[in-house]
Amino acid sequence: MDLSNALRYWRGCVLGWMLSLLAGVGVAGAQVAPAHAVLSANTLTPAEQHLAGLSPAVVLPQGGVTVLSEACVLAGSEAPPGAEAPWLHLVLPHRWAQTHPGYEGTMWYRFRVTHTQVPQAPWAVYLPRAVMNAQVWVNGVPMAYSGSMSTPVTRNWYVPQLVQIPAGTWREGDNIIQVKVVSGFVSRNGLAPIQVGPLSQLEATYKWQTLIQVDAVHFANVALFALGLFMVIGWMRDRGQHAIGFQGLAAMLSGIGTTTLVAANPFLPSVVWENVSYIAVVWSQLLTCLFFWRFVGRRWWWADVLVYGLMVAAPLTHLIAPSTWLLALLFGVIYLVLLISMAQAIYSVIKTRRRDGGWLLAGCAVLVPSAAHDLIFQLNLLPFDTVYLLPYVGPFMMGCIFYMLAGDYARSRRALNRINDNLATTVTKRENELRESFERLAELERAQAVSAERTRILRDMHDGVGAHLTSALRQLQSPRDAGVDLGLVTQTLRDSLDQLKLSVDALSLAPGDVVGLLASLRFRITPRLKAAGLELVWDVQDLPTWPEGHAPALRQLQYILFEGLSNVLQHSGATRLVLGACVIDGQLDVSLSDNGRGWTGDGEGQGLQAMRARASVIGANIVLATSPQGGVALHVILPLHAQRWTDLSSAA
Amino acid sequence: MSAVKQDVWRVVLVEDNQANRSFLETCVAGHPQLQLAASFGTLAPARAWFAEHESDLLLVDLGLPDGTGLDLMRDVRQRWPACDMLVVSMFGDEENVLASIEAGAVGYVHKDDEAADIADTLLAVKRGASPISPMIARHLLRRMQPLAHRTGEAPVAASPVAVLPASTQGTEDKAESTSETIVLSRREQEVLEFIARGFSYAEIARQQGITVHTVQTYIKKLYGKLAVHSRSEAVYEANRLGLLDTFGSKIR
Repeated sequence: MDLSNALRYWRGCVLGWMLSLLAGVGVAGAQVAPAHAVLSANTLTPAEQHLAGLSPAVVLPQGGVTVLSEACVLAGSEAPPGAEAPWLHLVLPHRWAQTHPGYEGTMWYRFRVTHTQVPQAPWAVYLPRAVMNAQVWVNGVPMAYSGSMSTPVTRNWYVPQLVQIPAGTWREGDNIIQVKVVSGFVSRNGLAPIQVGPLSQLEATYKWQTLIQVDAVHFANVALFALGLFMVIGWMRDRGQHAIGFQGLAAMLSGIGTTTLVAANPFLPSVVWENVSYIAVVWSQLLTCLFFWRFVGRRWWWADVLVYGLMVAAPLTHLIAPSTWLLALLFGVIYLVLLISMAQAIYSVIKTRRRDGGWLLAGCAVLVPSAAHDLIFQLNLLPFDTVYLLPYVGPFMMGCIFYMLAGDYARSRRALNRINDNLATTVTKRENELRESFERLAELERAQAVSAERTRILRDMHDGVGAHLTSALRQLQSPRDAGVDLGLVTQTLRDSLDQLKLSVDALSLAPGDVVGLLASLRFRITPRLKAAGLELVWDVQDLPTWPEGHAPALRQLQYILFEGLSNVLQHSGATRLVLGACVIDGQLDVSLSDNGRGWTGDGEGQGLQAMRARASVIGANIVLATSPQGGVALHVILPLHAQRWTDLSSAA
Repeated sequence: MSAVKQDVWRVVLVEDNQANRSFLETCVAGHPQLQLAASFGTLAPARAWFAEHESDLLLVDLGLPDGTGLDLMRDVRQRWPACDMLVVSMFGDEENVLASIEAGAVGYVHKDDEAADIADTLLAVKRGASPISPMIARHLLRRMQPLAHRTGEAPVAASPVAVLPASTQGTEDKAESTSETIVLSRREQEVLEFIARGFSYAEIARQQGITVHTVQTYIKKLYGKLAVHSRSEAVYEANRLGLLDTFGSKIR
């Protein structure tokens, strides 16, 4: 590429930058205006054209490659035209639109070369770019070509071609090389300067160019498609990640669309294939817009509607009214929308200082000039054999975005792990705290239970054994003249021992076990009843559990019954005592009925008052009646249904 | 052993309280059918004595200056199975009484009992009776029910009940065959329940249509089962803990 070409190239790049920013209007304008400039630059003046048939032959050096960029052109012939035909002399690269606007069909290019001697080594003709397919003739002999030269024409337009020339074809002196180019469906038909020289040298150039334009593009496309598929699968498993889904779809479509460059023999008919790849490219760009908006976290319904509308409008326009202007306008709008959404994404990344946002910036920084470059190339502002950049930059951009999104995923996973760890630690800590607090509570409860038990036992000793022992002491110290009443003292001491035994029994009574209480009372009191000659009738039925019968309450009941028995023994003069227990009207009725003298006192004695006091503490009632045998019947009525009664811990 | 012998029973006393010992000695001496063989205030001389002498009755206090009466009872039961042992208890509380029964005692007397009552109790034991309080009966009922349920041997416990003719006096129960759980015959269970509810032996006998003596026999047998059970339970526990590797399988 010479200096002026390079200058044109870079001028085009800068112009493209501005164009891509100006978008639609710029595209539309550029479609026409620069075309004239290029035309005037490439085509020879009419005066030069006059000399076409006399264009000098190029002398080929034996050991090197020669670039042939001057040719005579003739349109419309199937067979190779002769030297006398109306050739048009021009400089390559040649675009048909420059000299034959709107022409489709066959175009012959004629080159005159001179061999100072017939080459010994195998030679070749190298066609860097012939749109769409081409066949080389040397001295009127057709060479082999790839694919098809008639409809459908093999799409070799982006594929370099190397044609080997058999040794016998060359002759010493003048040789004619003719290149037959056939046009294809909606393509920029034309021919870039061809090269002729030893096969060994051209082969290297050809291979390198094939790698860059074909093989590597295939590879990049497959990679892009796979990456997109990966992202789409990820999105399918996590439907909330719309950004990833759109980006994945865009990548897949981009891969499909770009394949059009290198698919010389597409599986689909040309018309269908062209449309499919066109739609894929358009949709890929529009999906990228959606990605940028989701990525930024903004969502405008009208923007979505615009994008979806363009998705439908672009292919429809292409199919129904393939107008260049309309197409340019549509592309302009699409590029504008894409640029705006990209700008929003870049702004958001910079403003929020997003983690890994640099990758997006890097991708955009490469993508935008590349896209501009390719656009300018499509507008014919760049050399005819320019290489497209997007097939490579596209995957790079997608890779950047994917790298960034994968970073998000990795961070969220790490964050989750941290949270889990913290949670586990917290749970363990809470568990320990809870256990400690339970232990404290249990200890406190134990201490309280011990304290309550101690209080109970102390009160028991005070009321029972202590009281009786004190009485016995007072009786022994009696100042009365009659002296000490040994019988009375013995009785008091026996009472105190009995109280002690009852107290021991109360310790092992189950809560609410009134039958057990009565049984143990009988067992303890039997020797005294026997000694007093009092017959005991046992009329205790099976009783339900007394709900309020906690240990202190049972002890109070023992006191009441013991006091009642003592009264019978001491005052009644009875010979027969019935101890009854049954359920009446939902209450426990425990009764002592004797056949003694009956109630004789004027008022209630001190003993009875004490019994009533104790009964009130445990929610019981004491009823005095006349027994069927004529004596006194003492009923202790215990409620079976729970009711509030004075807390024993505060009751004396 | 239901026949009342007219022999004089030899009695050994072990009681550290001097006054109490004198009182008990008086009790024994005051009855023509009882004869005081020996009287000790501590454990060691009593054990030495029993190594060489036999006795018909042993009355022992649990809390002795050089040990517990339970040890002496275990020795004596091994050496002289025919010797009936009673414990001198302050309260007749279930903890002490049950420990004594498991050590082989067949009864107990209260320290504050009248002298005549103590002598009567000693002779009654020799005639095959055993005293029991409602509290102890309750405890035994509580303890046996879960055992039968837990080991799934309720059917074993129930089978002797099923074959027992209700009219017989129930002396033929074979429930002792199982050593790991205390298996009660239905009669024993009923008697225990009556006692737990406060009925006297006489009332139970009347209600069940059996003699008072039979009721008393039930209790004494029950005590025997408890003692056997406590022994096998100890062996079972030792076996379970791996202390008796060699004999474990034979014993089970």
